[in-house]
Amino acid sequence: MLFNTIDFAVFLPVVFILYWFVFNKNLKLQNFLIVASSYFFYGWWDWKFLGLIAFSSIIDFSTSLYISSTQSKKKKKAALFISIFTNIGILAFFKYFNFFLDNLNTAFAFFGQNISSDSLSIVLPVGISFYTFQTLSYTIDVYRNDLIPTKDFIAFSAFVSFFPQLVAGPIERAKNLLPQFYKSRNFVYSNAVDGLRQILWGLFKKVVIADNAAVIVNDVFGNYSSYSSSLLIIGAVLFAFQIYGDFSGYSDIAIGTSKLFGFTLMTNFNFPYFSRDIAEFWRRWHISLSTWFRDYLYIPLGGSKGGHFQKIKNTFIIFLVSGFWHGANWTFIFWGLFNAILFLPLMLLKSNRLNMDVVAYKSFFPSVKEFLQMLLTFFLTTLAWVFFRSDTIGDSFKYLANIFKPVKILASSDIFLYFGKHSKIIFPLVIVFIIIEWMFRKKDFVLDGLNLKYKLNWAVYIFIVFVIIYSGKFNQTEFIYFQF
Amino acid sequence: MKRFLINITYFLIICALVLTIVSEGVLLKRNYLSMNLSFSHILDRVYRSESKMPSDTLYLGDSVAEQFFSFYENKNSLTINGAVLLSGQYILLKNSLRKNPQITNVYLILNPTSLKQSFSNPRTYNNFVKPFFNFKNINNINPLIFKKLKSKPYSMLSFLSLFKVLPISDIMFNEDGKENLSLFSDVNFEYFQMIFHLCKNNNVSLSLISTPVSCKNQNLIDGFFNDLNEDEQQFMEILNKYKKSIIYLEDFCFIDDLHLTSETLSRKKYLYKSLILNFE
Repeated sequence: MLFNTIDFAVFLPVVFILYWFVFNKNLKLQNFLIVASSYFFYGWWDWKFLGLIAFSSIIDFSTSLYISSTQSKKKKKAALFISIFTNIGILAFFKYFNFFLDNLNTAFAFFGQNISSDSLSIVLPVGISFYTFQTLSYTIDVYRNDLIPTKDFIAFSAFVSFFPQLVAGPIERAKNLLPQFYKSRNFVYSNAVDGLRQILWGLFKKVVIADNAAVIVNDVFGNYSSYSSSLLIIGAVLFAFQIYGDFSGYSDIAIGTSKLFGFTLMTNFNFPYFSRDIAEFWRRWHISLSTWFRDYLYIPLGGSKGGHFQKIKNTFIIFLVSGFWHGANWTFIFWGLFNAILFLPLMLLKSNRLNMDVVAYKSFFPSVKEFLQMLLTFFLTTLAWVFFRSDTIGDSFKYLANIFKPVKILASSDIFLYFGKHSKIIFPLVIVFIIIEWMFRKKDFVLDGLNLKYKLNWAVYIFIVFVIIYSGKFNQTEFIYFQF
Repeated sequence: MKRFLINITYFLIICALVLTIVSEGVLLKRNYLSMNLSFSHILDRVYRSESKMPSDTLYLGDSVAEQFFSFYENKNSLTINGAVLLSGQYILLKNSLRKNPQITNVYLILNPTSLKQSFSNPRTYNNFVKPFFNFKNINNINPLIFKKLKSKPYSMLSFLSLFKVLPISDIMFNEDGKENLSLFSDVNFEYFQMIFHLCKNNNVSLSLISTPVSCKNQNLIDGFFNDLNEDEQQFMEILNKYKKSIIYLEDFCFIDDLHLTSETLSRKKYLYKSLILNFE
């Protein structure tokens, strides 16, 4: 089920009412309702893959209990291995099998050997990368004695399958989310209102910004060889806003929905395009994944301790794995590599933690230096997005090569001529969007704590609803990150 | 919780009221629907059908007919996308005849594939349901259409103007069972009969004429006419004339098997136009 559909608009109030009015007397029943509704939510897309979530839940629930019950270090390690092997195995099969097979074929063909191996038609289960990472972190935390395993299978299943964040995160840590399933939840008015605000803004980002930008982006990336450099720049910049609106919009809806049910999820995006360097960007973009890799891969590898070689090796590993996590395509791996190259100088010069605060914290406008830093960071991330969005590595390089041909300045009428009605609406919307995000950059999310006089809040909400209805796109476009 | 539910209810009511007023009073009335141009274009036709037209002849037809009798160039043309089905054409005709009693000739110019267009066409919702399913037209919506709408009940929300401006354009309606009519889809055949009787009752001459068709589809089109069922055979006279009106052109004259290339149009538009009009 997608958040931007009528199906979800019916599903959410029904579950909300059942949760607070029918199942509210008993915590176990409430958790059971969450599991049942989460499975229903996922099964609405394809019920056949429900077994995978259940299987993953059972494996991690039982291995974690075993890890905590046995004293033998060998047995603990073996149980952890089973959990990692199962989760990564599922992921590898569904997500990477064909990629490895195709590359193996290419490698053999390069040496003049043809091996007969046909790709399997494997359907990638939606959200598999998210929930496998979430359950994996639970077992690893138990193994490290950072977490006492739960004996409540329903609570654990609810943690794994919690519908707001099941298919595209945030990738929650058991330490944060699981204990919330043990405690009885009370309805808090201000949290629920906050949740609705966040849902509203998330929907705006998804259906107004991302989906309108997508119309032009798809056109430009699909026909990049016939477009001029100016139009290619527009396509790349709009993709930066498309992917941000799409993914952070999803996260906002997920976090907002969780608040309606009395849960607090971690922040996943923190105004990343207002970053002053790449390191800051990565502290603000897809935070739940970056911190996951930091805690379960980067630090175990030695982190930034040790010599330069160690630091360089670990940085490349984490960015390459992060790229590969996004999809079985060389474009994602190259995207990771490109980001590593951008990040590395900052780390080697020990300036990767220079910008830890919010930009222009004490003033409304940034200084010239900050502005230029933000512009440069946005430029670099947009370059990286070209690899992310292109179908093949070859396409990415051709796209970039075409961008760097002499720029022909286009009149606005030319842009309208190329992209028609969407260009008339998307450019003003993106500008307004940047301004609004800038105004709320010190908050957790846009509209957070909005408190205007004379109930003017409502006028703002109604206006946003109007913009969503009038200029949003509702043709069941999936969220980009579903494919990951 | 009580306060939350009350406030939510108030908010939704106010939202619905404000948006209905804006949709009805501004967006639909003034046709400010630049984000959904195909819907906007159909509203243009609807509004013209409800106004005075300066002719005793009316052109109705699909998007291929639009290439010959452009809506914007001919003040007496209501040519429109084929996905409005004959149900949409019927409502346009009925409106026009009510406002324009001087009309004595109606040309219904359709490619044979437009007759076959079924309700399950993904554009039916945007092109027929949204613009035509409203309080004014409720008497023109027959039970067959209601049955189709019930396959996606939420599509009926488009009865409210608030839902018409939503940029949802495609809803796939389910068709129950196989099409049992050879030339017309079921909805189109019902409304074809209604168009026929409406013209007859108003003493209006109805000419059903085909747009040019690609040679490669000739066997297919002949097949449609060879398999006419009993109901359709009641209209043999008009259907025979329709078949005779088909002009077959070489494949290269078409962009997409249906619409003519601009080159063909620039060379032969007026010739075909006069052939169509002087067919009888």
